[in-house]
Parts: sequence; C-alpha cells; structure tokens
Amino acid sequence: MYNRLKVERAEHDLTQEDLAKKIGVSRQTINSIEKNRYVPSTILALKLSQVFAKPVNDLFTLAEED
Amino acid sequence: MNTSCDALNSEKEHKKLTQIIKYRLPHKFKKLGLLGAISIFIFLIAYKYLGSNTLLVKDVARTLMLLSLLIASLSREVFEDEYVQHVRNQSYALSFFCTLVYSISLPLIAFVLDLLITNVSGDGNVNFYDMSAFEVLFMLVCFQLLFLEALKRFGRVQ
Repeated sequence: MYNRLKVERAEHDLTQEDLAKKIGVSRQTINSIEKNRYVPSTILALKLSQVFAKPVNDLFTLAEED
Repeated sequence: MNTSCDALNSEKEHKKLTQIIKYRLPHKFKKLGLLGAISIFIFLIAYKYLGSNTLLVKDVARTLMLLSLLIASLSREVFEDEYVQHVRNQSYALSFFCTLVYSISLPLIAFVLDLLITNVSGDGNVNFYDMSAFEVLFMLVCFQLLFLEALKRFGRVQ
C-alpha cells in the first residue's frame, strides 16, 4: 500500500512529531507509515483523513501486490 | 434462541481473550524485571563458581529468573500505541520460530559433534543432548525481548 502522508504533512506544514501528537501516536508510528513499513489500522487511517480533511482513498492507495 | 445464546457466549469469550492478550503491566515493571533477571543470572554464575551445587536453589533461582523475564516481556512501553502492539506481535511470532529452530538444531549439532568426537576418541558412547524446559523458555523470552527492541529501532530509522 502506498500513501501520501509525507506530501500531505509538508502541505500542512506539520512535522512527524506534530502529526503524531494530533492523532495520539508516537513519531515512530508516523515514520513507519511514511516508509511503508507499517499499514495503519482503519481507526488510524480515519484519524489521518480527519486531520488532513481528505477521504482515506486520497491518502492511501493499493499497490499491485495488495 | 440457541443460536443467539451461542453468539453471545462466543462474543463474551472473544472479549475475555482480547482482554488477556492486551493486558500489560506498567512500564516500570520492565526495568524491574530486567534488573531481577540480570541479578539472578549473576547469582547463578557466582553460585556455580563457589562450588555450591544444591539443585533446589538452582531450580528456584531459574524459576525466578523466568518470572522476571516474563514480567519484563509483559510490561508496556513508554508510549504504547498500535504500532508497538503490532511490533510486539511480530516479536512473539519471530521468537517462537527462532526458539523452535534453536531447539531442533542444537541437539542435532551436539549429537553430530558428539558422534564425531566419540568416533575419534573411540569410547563408544554417543550422547543425545537433552534440552531442558528452562533452556527453551529462557530462549523464548530472551528472543522476544531482543526482537522487540530490534523491531522498535527499525521504526526510529528515518
């Protein structure tokens, strides 16, 4: 699964730490999602979509192997 | 009626199991558990070199060491979120696999080595290395704690 988290974060001028605080996770979690090492739960994906005011589909896209 | 009762019971069981799986001790227990395990480990080495060899003392110390490691394994991290839970699950799966490989391969390696040495020395007795339950459980918890730390570190790498 691919995500646009890093781009969205830059557009909203947020650091990994800021975003982590907003959705109540650690900076490590945000870093792992951005690096595609961790696929977040639906709850976390919805929280991220709330922060960026965009649908989940705009933030995450399925890869060919998914 | 029966179907709804079954569904209710299975829902209750699922809830209980989830509670057990998610149960964690406070973070301070991690340091406590690790300190306890290291202290007992040092005690066991000292006990061996002092020449004492009471089986009961050894068994009690080993059990306490396993208990300390279990406490460390069950303790929550400073920041426990879903990523840490995911990494923790991975560490349990990896430690199970590694302990299995270790438990199967070590007696085999020891057996082959013993066979070779016995053939060279020619005393005729080949021993099969018997692994104790303590050894297996110790490896299992140690692997879990090490994998958890390693996997957490991957998340920190930018």
